[in-house]
Amino acid sequence: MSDLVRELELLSAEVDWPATPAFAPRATKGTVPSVARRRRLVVAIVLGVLALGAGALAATGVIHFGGATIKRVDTLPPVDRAPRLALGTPIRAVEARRILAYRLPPRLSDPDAIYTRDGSLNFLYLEHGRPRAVLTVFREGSAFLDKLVHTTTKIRRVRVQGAPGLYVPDVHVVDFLYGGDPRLSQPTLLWTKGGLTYRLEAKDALGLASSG
Amino acid sequence: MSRPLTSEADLVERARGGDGAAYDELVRAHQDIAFRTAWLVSGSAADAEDAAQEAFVKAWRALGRFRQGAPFRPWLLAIVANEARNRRRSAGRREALVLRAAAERRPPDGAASPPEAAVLRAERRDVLLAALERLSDDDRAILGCRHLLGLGEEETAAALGLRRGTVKSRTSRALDRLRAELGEAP
Repeated sequence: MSDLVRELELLSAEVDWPATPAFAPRATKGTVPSVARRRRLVVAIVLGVLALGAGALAATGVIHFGGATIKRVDTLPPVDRAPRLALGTPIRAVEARRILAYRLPPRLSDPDAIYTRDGSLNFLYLEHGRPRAVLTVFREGSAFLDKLVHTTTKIRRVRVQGAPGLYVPDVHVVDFLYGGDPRLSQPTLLWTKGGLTYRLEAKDALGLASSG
Repeated sequence: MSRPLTSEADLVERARGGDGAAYDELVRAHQDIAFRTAWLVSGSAADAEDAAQEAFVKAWRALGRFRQGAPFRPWLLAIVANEARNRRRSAGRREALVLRAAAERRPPDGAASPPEAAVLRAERRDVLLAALERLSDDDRAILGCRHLLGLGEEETAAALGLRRGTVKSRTSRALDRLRAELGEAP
């Protein structure tokens, strides 16, 4: 160990670190200690979200939807504007079906590639060799991703294939809890169906997920 | 008969099963290092508090995804640092590292006056701290994580979102720049 490193380590004891707040009681307050209670809470939150009108959604600070948490911020944090898509391990459709019993909208029924990551599935759709859309499917109820959207973004309540959904029409930041750094996201459509949450990221997400 | 000490792995497993008290204990064990890591990354005590608080809630919600048998602290610090990076202010003044007040560093009552050598060491610490403050945010963060907080290379990599090899090379370069700030030969 060099003398300088040793000096830095001694210096640590002399630094006036800010006092650590008491976190424990607040960290667990309001969270749910079991999967069953968590599922009931998610259902309650989703029902609560659906009870709100579109205007109310726009004014709400934090929205929870099927494992996605949407927060409003005045300024989006700095992120890599050209990130690598961390989609996971390539698999075949037959393997994907063994992981999750998903149902794809008609216009998304033929993905160019399928990947799995952390129990979720990622369906990639290409156009002229470049990503046009990414559809992520994961189990509803588990905390899976955070979205940071600008306070001016108008989040819309929509129906997708008859299922409840939310549409984030603007570019925003998405943070998959265990999938690399936060990154910029294109407009995104979220919906829940059959115990699964679907997240479609594409400039024309509403059109791609429609029934037609 | 004395009760056996509860290992961290036991606490993690209990917390994964929904035991809030076990999770509280994990938080208490790691809240200092989590908060200081968040402070080094965000540069603000208020942001660090928000980041750590949010990270503890996120980690609790996500314990089901925690890989059984893996070390808990790097996983937690990665979530904390991620939250802190989201809150890092692009504008505005970063809070500086400062030394505790001299009165707090005096020997306890009845102890001998500090010898001159100790005073010299104190002066050296002022110089060292000032040199640290002149480094870039990235250099200060990596030296802060590695040598002020005592995080291992793997934990620093998780906290700063770097590869382990990158931590090693960047630490070495940051130390060289610190020596240069101090006017010392590399």
